[in-house]
Amino acid sequence: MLRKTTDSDVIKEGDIVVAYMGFTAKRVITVEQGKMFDCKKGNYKHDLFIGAKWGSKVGEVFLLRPTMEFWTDCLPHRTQIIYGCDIALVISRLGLRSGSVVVEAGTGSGSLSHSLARAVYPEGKLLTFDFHEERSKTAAAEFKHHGLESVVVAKSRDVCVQRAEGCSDSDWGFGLPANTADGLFLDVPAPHLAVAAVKHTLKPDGVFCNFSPCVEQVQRVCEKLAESGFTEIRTHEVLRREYTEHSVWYNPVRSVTREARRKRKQGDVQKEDAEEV
Amino acid sequence: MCESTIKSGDWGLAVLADDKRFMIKIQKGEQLKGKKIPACDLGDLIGLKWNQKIDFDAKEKKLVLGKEDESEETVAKLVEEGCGGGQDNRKLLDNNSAQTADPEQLLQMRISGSGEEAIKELITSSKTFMSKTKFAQEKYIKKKQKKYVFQMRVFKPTISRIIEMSLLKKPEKIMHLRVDTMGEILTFANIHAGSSTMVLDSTAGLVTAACVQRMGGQGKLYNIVGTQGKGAPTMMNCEYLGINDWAEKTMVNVDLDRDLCELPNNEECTKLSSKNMIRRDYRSLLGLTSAAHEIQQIGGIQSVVIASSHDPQEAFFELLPLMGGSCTFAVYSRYIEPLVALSSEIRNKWIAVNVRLTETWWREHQVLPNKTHPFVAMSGTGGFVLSGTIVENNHPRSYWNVIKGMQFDAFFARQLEKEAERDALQKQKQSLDTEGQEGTKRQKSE
Repeated sequence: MLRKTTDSDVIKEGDIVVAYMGFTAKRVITVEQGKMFDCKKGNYKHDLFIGAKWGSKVGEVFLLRPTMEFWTDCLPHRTQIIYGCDIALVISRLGLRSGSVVVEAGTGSGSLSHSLARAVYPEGKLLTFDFHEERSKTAAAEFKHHGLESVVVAKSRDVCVQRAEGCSDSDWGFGLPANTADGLFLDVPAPHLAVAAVKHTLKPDGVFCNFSPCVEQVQRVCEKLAESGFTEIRTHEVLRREYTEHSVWYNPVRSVTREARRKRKQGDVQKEDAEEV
Repeated sequence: MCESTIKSGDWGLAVLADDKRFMIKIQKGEQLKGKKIPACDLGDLIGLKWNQKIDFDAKEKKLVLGKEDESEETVAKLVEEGCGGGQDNRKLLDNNSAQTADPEQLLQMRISGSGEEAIKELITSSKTFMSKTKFAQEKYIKKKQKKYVFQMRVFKPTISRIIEMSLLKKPEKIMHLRVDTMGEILTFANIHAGSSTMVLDSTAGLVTAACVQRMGGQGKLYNIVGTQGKGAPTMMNCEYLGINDWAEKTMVNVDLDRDLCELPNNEECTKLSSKNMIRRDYRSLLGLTSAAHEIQQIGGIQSVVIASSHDPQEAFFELLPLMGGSCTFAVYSRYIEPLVALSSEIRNKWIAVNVRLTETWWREHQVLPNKTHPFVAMSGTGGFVLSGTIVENNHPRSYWNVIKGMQFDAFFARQLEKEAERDALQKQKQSLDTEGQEGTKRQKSE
């Protein structure tokens, strides 16, 4: 996973490293001798990073091992991506494990794809499709760079193409033979058009997951799924809520304390007495 | 592993029509437990596919594959026969006088598997069925079907399904962990094939099983056992998921008190083994000694999950010396207060970066034509997770400077100190005992 960085204590040339400067300032870089790393906190030569321990600090920069969560936070967005909270739920519900075959459409910017690859690594397979050829190629290059090409196959394809009379498996839908996938994920504009292809590609006990931003899309898909004989059709909504703690100092409500008021009153009474006298 | 047909010896999650869920072992001779369920042999399920509807055939007294739309068709048929002519319920009185069927007879029909007969009996014996609207009749029949007609679905166990079943039956057993929270824990801790993981869990082995599954038989998982209040680990969840072979390959049980410290000789080994071998799954006793060396060799653990009934702060600081640089950790707690305290400590002492204290808001929706709305009941919280990445920091207040030198040598030294203390206490106790015995001897002789 991400080039087996767990084998060594120390950063080597060619490793993928997360340069962490702050919660909102993280970057994923590939360490190369002679290259410069420029950030707000300074300019660092990559040579400084080579030989440093994972988790150590060089100057103002922490060097951390790359994880799929860091990739989701730092990747270059070509499309709107799916974030950690939804990714965690999808992988949990699909019941993926090493050896599972999972099919995904569309690849987009590869945010979920990386996490799916991690879940089925090393013996499983992720087959991911996108109807945009350029995006599919960029994603494929990224998977290769991250050492995932043994697990991920990225192709350009429109999975919503409907089945025509007498056409073979490769001409419609996902282009895969029947009963291939243990898990299937869709994040496309018109998922209800692909439900027939989903039923064909998914194993009889496989799990299908659809991700849609609008409730109308969800309604159309659920109706189609019920017609096609899917069971346990459930719709969830998840949000991640973050908590931070600060220390708070409270000022007293009354600016003058009781004691001070009493003394002041006593002082006034004495003054009055003195005046009377 | 990813088979679609049920094999003998598999575990399945059975869901009955009235939403009762339980784990079943699918083997010839195993029976479903329940007084009002027809007696059936689970061996009939072997060879069928997972997630299918299973009916009980009353004539052959066997479990058979049911048709998916059958119950809907039956409802439609019965309603047609009943021809709901009613307009509304203005004349219906709710005083239990409408139904004249014999409950004993109905129960017998239910147990023998002829639930359809029971429903027909209920319809004919009801004084008010004919006067109901069509919609009300459908609703009534569906309700009675759930109760009287035996129907079951057998699902392949997955972590999500096991969690949902446990939350319905005994949530304390899994510390009220919700499905999405489990996903978050596994994601934040970056559990993957080949990682070195350490787990401290009081969820009856559920979190451990989830980690074993994610690791896919590669890497090492150190499961901490034997701490106060915990017994030997239960491997039932690994068995449900069918990942016993992966557990064998990757899992090592380590005892934080005794372990990570040389076992002096074979006598000690047998003493330990007889005391701690409560359950047969307690494995690799020899692994207890090599664990510390292994961890040292790889420069510290890379993924840590704490989901235990211990104080999160104490647990975290106990395991901190074992965590390597860039170790991703996830600490789960049902309550937020201890995690707030721990989060402040971590931030103030600069132990970790990317520290997050999160909770997931989870809502389920009913999506049906013209009837879409969120479910009325919603889970309040699924627990809280504190996560982050450990760093080595040269900041003057950094805790790393405190524990840096401490790493393993001091860890060993502390263990040996504890052992020495324990021996001293025992000697004291022994000497007191012998004194006491001598005292009584003297008294007797006197």
